[in-house]
Amino acid sequence: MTSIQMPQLGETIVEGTILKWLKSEGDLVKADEPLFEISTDKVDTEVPSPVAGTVTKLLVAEGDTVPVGTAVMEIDDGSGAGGNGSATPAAPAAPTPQTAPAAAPPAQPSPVPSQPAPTPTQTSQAAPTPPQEPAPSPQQASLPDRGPRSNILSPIVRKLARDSGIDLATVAGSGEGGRITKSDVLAAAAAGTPPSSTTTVTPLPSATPAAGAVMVAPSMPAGEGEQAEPMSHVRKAIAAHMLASTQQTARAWTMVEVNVEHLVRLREDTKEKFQANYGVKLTYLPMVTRATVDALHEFPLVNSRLDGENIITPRFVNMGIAVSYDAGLIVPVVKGVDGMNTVGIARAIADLAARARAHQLQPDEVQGATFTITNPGPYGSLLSVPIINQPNAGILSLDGIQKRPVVVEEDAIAVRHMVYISMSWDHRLIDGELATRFLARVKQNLERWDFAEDLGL
Amino acid sequence: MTDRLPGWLLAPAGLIDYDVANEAMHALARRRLAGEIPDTVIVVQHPPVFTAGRRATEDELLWDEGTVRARGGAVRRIDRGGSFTFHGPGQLVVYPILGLGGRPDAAAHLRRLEEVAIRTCADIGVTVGRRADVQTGVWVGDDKICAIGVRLLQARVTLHGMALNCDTDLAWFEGIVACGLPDHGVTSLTRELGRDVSVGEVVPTAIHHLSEVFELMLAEAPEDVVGPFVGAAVA
Repeated sequence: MTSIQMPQLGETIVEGTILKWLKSEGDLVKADEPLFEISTDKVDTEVPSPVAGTVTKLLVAEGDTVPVGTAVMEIDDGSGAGGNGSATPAAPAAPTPQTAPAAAPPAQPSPVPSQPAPTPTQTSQAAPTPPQEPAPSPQQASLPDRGPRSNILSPIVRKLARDSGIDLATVAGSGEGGRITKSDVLAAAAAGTPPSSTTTVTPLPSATPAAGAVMVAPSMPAGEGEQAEPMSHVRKAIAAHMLASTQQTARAWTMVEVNVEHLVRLREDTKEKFQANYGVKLTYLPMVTRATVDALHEFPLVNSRLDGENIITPRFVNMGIAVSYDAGLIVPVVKGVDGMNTVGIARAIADLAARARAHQLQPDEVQGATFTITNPGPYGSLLSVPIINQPNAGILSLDGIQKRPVVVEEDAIAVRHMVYISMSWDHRLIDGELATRFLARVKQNLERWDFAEDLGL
Repeated sequence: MTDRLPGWLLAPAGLIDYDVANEAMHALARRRLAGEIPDTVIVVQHPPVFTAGRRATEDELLWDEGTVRARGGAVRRIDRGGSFTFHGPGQLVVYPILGLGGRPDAAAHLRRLEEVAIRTCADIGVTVGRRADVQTGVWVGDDKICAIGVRLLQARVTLHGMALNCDTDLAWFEGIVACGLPDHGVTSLTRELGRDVSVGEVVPTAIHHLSEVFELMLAEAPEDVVGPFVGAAVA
């Protein structure tokens, strides 16, 4: 007896509706013959039988919606008593049927299927195997199907894997639909997955904790007066991302000092009106972003990325803004920031930061940055050396604004509001002259622009 | 990229009759299931037609069929997922016929279709996005610019696909509750950019991203496969 379950057609699909039974109780079915039709959100499909036999029971009615993994039909395939066998036809996306949309923990090495899943036949069979029709498996067809991980591999993931000698077939995907993400590759790289010399696929031992991946130092468990706590997924992802950046970029760093006296005055004079008019606080970050976007247009290479041996230079700027929140650090992206004035940028940053802190960002809102700004200034930093947010060519740091005695015109010493603005940049893509001219442009913009007009005040 | 699968591309010129394209698509999918042909991507435009997916309800067709016919359109009830949608001139329709293998991930397929639309629109100059809070498809704010609906043959081979409005006459969408969402609108690249964006302009970009996202090395399909489409061009 084989019990047929609602198949899982992807990790994020948690239920399905029986549209139509194509077989009735008592009907004979061959292996791979369609049993019923299901509908899941935007995808409909017929479900083929994993076995040959006789339909003995339909367990749900047409039109019923049931969770993935629910038994919907029984087929007597001669495997003997008792309903011990069970089969999820066609698409067992997980070894055990899941009824909850539990997101697979990222970077948790689950046993990776070594080959396209075997022909969907019954998984557990009683001892005397009955004569079973050899399933005409479409997978043995002359033209190859996509593998079990029918995933989008982004160019970044592919490149990263290539660069770090990781065989992607050995990497368990934690992304949507089992997609292999950059963090997965980074975690695998950090775990020291050996470079693949053959195409043989070795499942990762599921006992290896991925967290250990990041720390290759000798183990030093918690002693007296210490507390041990597992790293969160976010923490692990950050760790892998940062470590990979330091290992894979040729990081250099350049700083300029900017006189922001007039910006401080402008902000003091207009911050109340700005908030009243636009509903968000006026901070220096949108002004610096605006000045940076202009400089990126002037020096597009700073806005570029490497893809293999190609330098990709976008015609647009998507600005990543590093935001700290309770779970760690996240970099939401202001898409199309080059089409916005300072007010628009202020609103976009306020919105993204608020939703980041409320854990409400959509996945595409943290992807696609072409450059990144980090802003540790409000917490009191004077100078920071940030790690490049790959695949960006650079990351700009806005540190704290401070009154300092400076030499002004005619060699007088005066007190001015000054700030250090610096950039970590990837020497594979840009050189010191360009980095410095870029920063000089940012400085010039901030010192000379009259932002009052841009603020609409 | 050596790890791309070889695939066929069918991009017949002109408006292709819906029924002919639908039938040819199913025939190709059966051949794909049997492993006789590689992954195949069809890129077409149709004459005006409303198609009802399996989740469509009759009250979502707001015009009676007589009105639809009087305006030069047709209504078809078909086997894909989703509700009512419209296809017509000015809309880029893509039907990827892909073998998903023994562990098909239909959700990933939907995300890939969205990805193709997002990248294509970005290249044309329109920033679009997913609306995980609403529905599969690609959106500009509350307006859908690309509708998506899929069927799997034997849970293994993909049918139907996506429809991206380039310079579609959006008045047609008044005839239906598009995608079963009464509170959301539709838009097109032309409307978003304020200049005419033809299907012809978008096709090369879309094909580029289709091959990237679906990891295909696309080559023109052989003549016997293209044949039915050539005969089906109505304008």
